[in-house]
Amino acid sequence: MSDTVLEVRDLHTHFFLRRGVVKAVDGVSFSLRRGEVLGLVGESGCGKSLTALSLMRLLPKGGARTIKGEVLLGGENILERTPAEMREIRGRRISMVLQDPQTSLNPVFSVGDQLREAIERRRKGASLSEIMKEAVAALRRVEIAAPEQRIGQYPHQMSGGMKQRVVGAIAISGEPEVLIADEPTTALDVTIQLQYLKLLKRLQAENGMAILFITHDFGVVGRMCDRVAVMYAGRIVECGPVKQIFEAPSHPYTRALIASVPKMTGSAGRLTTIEGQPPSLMDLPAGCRFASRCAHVEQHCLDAYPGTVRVGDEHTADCWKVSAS
Amino acid sequence: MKRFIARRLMQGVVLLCMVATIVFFLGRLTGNPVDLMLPEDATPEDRTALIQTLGLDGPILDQFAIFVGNAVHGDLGTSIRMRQPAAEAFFDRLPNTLMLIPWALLLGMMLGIPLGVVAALHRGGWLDRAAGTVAVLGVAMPSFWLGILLIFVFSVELGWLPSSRMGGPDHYVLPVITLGTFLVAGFMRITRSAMLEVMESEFVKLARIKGLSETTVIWKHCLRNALIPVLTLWGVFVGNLITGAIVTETVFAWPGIGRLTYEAVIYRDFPLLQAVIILESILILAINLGVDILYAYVDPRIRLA
Repeated sequence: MSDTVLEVRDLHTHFFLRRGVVKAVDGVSFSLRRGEVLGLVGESGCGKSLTALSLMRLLPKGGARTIKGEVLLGGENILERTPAEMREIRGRRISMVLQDPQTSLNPVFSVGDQLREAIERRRKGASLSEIMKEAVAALRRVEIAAPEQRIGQYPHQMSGGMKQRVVGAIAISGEPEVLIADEPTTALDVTIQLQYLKLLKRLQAENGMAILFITHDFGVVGRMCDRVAVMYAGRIVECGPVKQIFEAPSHPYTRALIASVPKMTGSAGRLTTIEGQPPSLMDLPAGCRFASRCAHVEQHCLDAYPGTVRVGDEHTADCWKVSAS
Repeated sequence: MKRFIARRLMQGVVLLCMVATIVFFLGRLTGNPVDLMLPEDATPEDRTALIQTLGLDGPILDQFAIFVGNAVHGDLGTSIRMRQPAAEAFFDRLPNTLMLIPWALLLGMMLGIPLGVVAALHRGGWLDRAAGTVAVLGVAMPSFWLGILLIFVFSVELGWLPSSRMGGPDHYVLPVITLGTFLVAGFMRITRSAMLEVMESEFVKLARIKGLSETTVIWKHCLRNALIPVLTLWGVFVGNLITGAIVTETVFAWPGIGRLTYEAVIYRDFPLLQAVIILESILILAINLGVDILYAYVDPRIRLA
């Protein structure tokens, strides 16, 4: 397993608020191999984005703290790095694409300026013309037409899809080993989405970075990912190769999620939904967190959290029913 | 942009007409300047004669018509007291005020903007509260009181700085502080709230993801955005500075347009008062237009729209 670039072990990031502790990320573990795309799927508020920000160590203000766990990047725990060391790591070894291209770029600086800042870190001492040449090349790499003209433009002069490409170019300009993509296509038009996904795939093939792809869209998972981790109420409940998860989901939550994806074939009926609400992250149950919504719930599901069970090759699930069978 | 400037100029003309009307009638409500000009033993005949010379005898609407007619031709009248064209008196004094205002503005920004940034960075902490206290003090202290206090401490007690009139650089210190203090507070508060808003935005997150230093993130990426609302206040503040100069220049016997305004009011020098107010309004309007154009340079969304 020497090609593991990122390993997350038992990560806990909680919000410490006056009215209580919100356990938004509560024991997340996964690993990411070189050149792999791992999907992180789950509904809103399950802790996907906070997991990503914990890895970047850019937690939102207002009481969020990572209190436990390890984030091993190339074998070293980056949670133990000083803020200054962490800045060296950000952008160069681990980087991130944000969700909303409309707000991800600074409106008062030109695209070239914002790209230059990122490139300068890698090319210390290079002349401005060299760096600008590289910035043009970076825009070309993300398939922006006429990059020489675009480089002097400001974000408001670009479309959403184009801005998201620029964000992508900025994120990968430091040639990171790991790229976190936090719902990068959610804010884009459907037609643009597909282009962007293809672009990410191509860039990944070119430089072999690993991608942690956060989404709530199973269609995107099928298109993009090698493996997928399903997150529910602050924990990963099932993880495995995409094909296996799609064909034989083990966890009832995964099954319900996949069943609720509208199908284009067959008769048009009512959409399948998952009854009930996820538990409050401030008051998590002792047992399985999905128990209150699960069709197969039994007494021991309510009493204790199920351990992680190996279902198949590289396929795990946190469920009592799975461990029983 | 050209259409924008043209529209603003039109608005300015309308505003000036209103200012001229208000100052004409409001000034005449204060009484008759003749009472202040004649010696106590003057006869009623002397009084009538003087009123006639000054053109204050006709019906007030006729006087207004004459004033408007002359003003349209660029003649703002002759100062009753100084026996000099009112506009000329204004432009004689203007440079003295213009030597004061930029320093006060600079003081306000040099202290207010960094204080606002620091307050935003330490939101809720003691630095934020300390900066907040400075802001409250700055707004709450009237400049006539602050000016006299400064004179008392630094001129009378310590004897470090001159208390009045124009002169070398040391003459500027106290008037600039008096005039600039309320700006420190204003700039601080607006910078703080703008920074707090900007610091939460996604592009700041991306700047950090790039691995930029906190210094670059805060003082370049955040501040440049936060300066947009700060700039809006410029226009307002320059207006405040010109009115603030009335008090400050009076306290420090500074021969600028502020003191000229004060004198025009005190001596009921109607032509001078009208001229000073109208010309000051033009100055404020011009500066506001300038600020709006400057805006475009800070915010490319406006420049290129």
